[in-house]
Amino acid sequence: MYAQRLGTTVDSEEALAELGLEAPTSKEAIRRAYLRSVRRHSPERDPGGFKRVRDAYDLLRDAPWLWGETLEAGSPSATPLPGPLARSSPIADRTEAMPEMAPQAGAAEEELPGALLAVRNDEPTSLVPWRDIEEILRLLEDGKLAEARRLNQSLDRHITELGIGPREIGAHGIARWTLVEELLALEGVASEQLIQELAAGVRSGDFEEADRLRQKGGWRLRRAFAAKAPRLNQALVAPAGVPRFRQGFTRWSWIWVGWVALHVCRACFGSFFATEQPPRPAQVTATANGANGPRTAKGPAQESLVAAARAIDEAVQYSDCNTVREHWPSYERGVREAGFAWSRDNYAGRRKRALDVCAELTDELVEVP
Amino acid sequence: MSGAHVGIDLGTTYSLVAIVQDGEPKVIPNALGELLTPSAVNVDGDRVLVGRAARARALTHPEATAVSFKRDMGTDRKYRLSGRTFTPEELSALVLAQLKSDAEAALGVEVEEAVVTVPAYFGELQRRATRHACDLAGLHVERIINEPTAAALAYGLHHRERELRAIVLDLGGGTFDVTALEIMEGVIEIQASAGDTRLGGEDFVDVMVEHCLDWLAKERGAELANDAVGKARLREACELAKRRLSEGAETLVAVPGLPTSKGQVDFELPVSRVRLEERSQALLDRMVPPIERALRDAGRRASDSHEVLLVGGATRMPCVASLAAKLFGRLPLRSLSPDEAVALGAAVQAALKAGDSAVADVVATDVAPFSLGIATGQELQGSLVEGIFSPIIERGTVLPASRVERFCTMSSGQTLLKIEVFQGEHARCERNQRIGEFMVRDIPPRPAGTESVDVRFSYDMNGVLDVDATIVSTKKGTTFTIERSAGRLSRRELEAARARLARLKFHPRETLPNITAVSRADALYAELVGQERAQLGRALSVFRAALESQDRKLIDEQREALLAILVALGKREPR
Repeated sequence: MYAQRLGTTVDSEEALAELGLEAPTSKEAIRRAYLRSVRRHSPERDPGGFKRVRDAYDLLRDAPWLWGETLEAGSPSATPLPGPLARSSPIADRTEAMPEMAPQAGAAEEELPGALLAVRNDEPTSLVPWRDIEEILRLLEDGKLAEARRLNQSLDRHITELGIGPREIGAHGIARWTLVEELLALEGVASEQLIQELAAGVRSGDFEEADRLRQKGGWRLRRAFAAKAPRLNQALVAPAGVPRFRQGFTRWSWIWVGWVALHVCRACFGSFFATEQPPRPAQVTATANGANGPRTAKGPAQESLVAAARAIDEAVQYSDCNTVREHWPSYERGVREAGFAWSRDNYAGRRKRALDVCAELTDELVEVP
Repeated sequence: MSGAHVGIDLGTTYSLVAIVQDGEPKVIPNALGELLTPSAVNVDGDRVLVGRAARARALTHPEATAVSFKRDMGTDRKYRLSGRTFTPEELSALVLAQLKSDAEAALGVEVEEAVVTVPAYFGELQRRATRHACDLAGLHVERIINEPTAAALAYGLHHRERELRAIVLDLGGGTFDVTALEIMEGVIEIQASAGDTRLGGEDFVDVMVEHCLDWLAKERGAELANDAVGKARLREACELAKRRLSEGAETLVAVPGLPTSKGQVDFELPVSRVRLEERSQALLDRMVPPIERALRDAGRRASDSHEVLLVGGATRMPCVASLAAKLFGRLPLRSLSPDEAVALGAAVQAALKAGDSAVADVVATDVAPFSLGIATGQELQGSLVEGIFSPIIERGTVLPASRVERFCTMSSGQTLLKIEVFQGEHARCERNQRIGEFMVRDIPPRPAGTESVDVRFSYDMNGVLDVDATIVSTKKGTTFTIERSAGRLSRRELEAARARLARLKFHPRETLPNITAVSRADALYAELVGQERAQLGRALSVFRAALESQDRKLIDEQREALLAILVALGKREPR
């Protein structure tokens, strides 16, 4: 899911004024000014004022003029209060502190016991999960299950102990990791070959071979697969690009249930409805059935129609007008050939969505006469 | 005169209540004149005993006594005491009610408001359970603060002029907390907190008990009989031995007449400090990761700290102090009383909150110990991976805090968005603690990713989380407050629990010293043999006769005599 932090509304001029500073100054001075302001606006007595002061400080801490300031400038011996003192998010750790901390670690080496040194001399911790997740996938692809499991355990411990946050791993990384854990859970359920193919699929996005193997495994495997690895199962079952409505039982579900109920009723009490129903407009009947009676598209014709529909749906999701424009004529043609009966709902809905995305295409998206 | 504002340290083994008077925080003594009230509850019929007497009865009536229930706060565990069922909240409420009445008796005024401390690493559910306990005890509590923060306040009160960075290691009876703080420009700034809610002095006692049982199995080929009194006595003996090992290098764990699978055994086992430290190495190792994490979050190195403060009774153990010295390269500070610092700090906070002018210039800022966020999904290789934790207020954010993040719909035509609120650090939601959920409705149906919702988290100093979600295109908002009283207990259940507790009666204040003396004598009687046992038995029966006579003066005299004998005989008596 896409997420973005909204920009803060204060600019650095205002922020400096809030902290009682006149000109851009050093990190240390900004911090002292912030703490002096906190004394005036304590979180206890003046929460609103404290929030303003804190926002100003958060903004100034990452001010552009401080980017050049290194940690060496404030080493423990030079000033009583050195270095990166406060940091609100682990992200800051990644971007500024870690690369600069590494060369300094040597100085403190004698004082620190082994366990703590491991943290300091390591590469930036946020890279570790990524590297490990990829490594586990590679091991799984090579069929080295036991090794993959071990690495996964050490990764889990590493992340938990160091408290590497979700933001550092990233949603994409977490998603990949989730799939990896599902793959590991499949051990004993699926054949080794299937797990290898799945791992390859997670890396490349091509699940065709894995899907074939799964289908061959019979219903027992399919059921176990769906239970142990629901997300992977979804990847195999659902073709990419087709939107899935994941909103549970809503208004639309009721309409659908109503529609089904109506048709069931009509099938049972057809004669009753027939007398009540008004005659259909002639035009629709003529289009649907045509001069030669109802036609259905089969074979290659239907395949190209489905392909065009998928391409349009996918393009609509990414608001990609060019692709919609490219595929629309063939889709339009396909629908006409297949007959209007192919799917009235699909056609109308798809057309509406396409128009939502590319309003200027009205002329090109001609309606079926 | 208006009511008193007190600070309460609700601990796993001991609880304290303190108040700021004339600008100085001090601990209020209980009915027995002691500062520490053991967090133990004994129920006898509809009579409740809390404190020292209940603690002594844990040895003689283990089935009617509960101890260490703080460890089960926020869980569904139930305690059965003399046929009644209690939740950990209710037991804590009984301790709080006792502390409240002790404070009121000593101060001569009502307690108007209290500040209660919890371990920094207590999660939302455990904090909510603590609030319920306060409600049940009839205490007005708005603010719950973290124990290391309180200790830092107690320390910072006298060191505001200095500029320093410190680490507080708080190893209590049941929990371990690490807090990194800095005092600069007169502001006490908490920079990071980390910890382990299931690591404390009690675990070291468990190690001792295990050691004794191993020895019993190996040397005598016997197992401990399934007998509550025997187990309680062995545990008590181990606890006292553990304390003695903080002073001396070797001690004796002695339990005469311990019931085992091979009959009664006069259990005697010398244990050395080195042996205890060897066996508890795993516990000591568990202290290191939270320390590393707090340092990392604060952006500090171990060698940066000017002071290491040790708080909590278990830090008296030399192995804990030497671990701290090894990690930080300096000797830990011992000027703070490890038992009282937290309660004193809570009293400072209560005075701050009440606007007491004596502490008006104390300014402290605290941080959120956990990340708070919502569950999101991610499309990956055609499959939808759900349950990804997206933090909004990250741990280490200074409180009060308010943060906004924008999220978008996952599928085309989506009109409904479920916002599940989680607390924790793991990347996946199922491994974090779920604290609430709500729905955002009426999102215009549009293609996936084109409709977005701004989710704002506001977390205030009292630990109340407000979540509101605004649909960006229609400006329609939904607000949701993770309510203090919501959670495991509903309002009605809370009322029922309050009524149930109201039926219980506390012993009258003036009889408490007598009951405590008898309970302690009973507990010691079981531990003694021969001459000493007979001597104690005689003193006890004389005191019982005095109690019958109801002569105030005689009772007081005989009680003092009994207490003197208890002290003389009870070489194992704590402190």
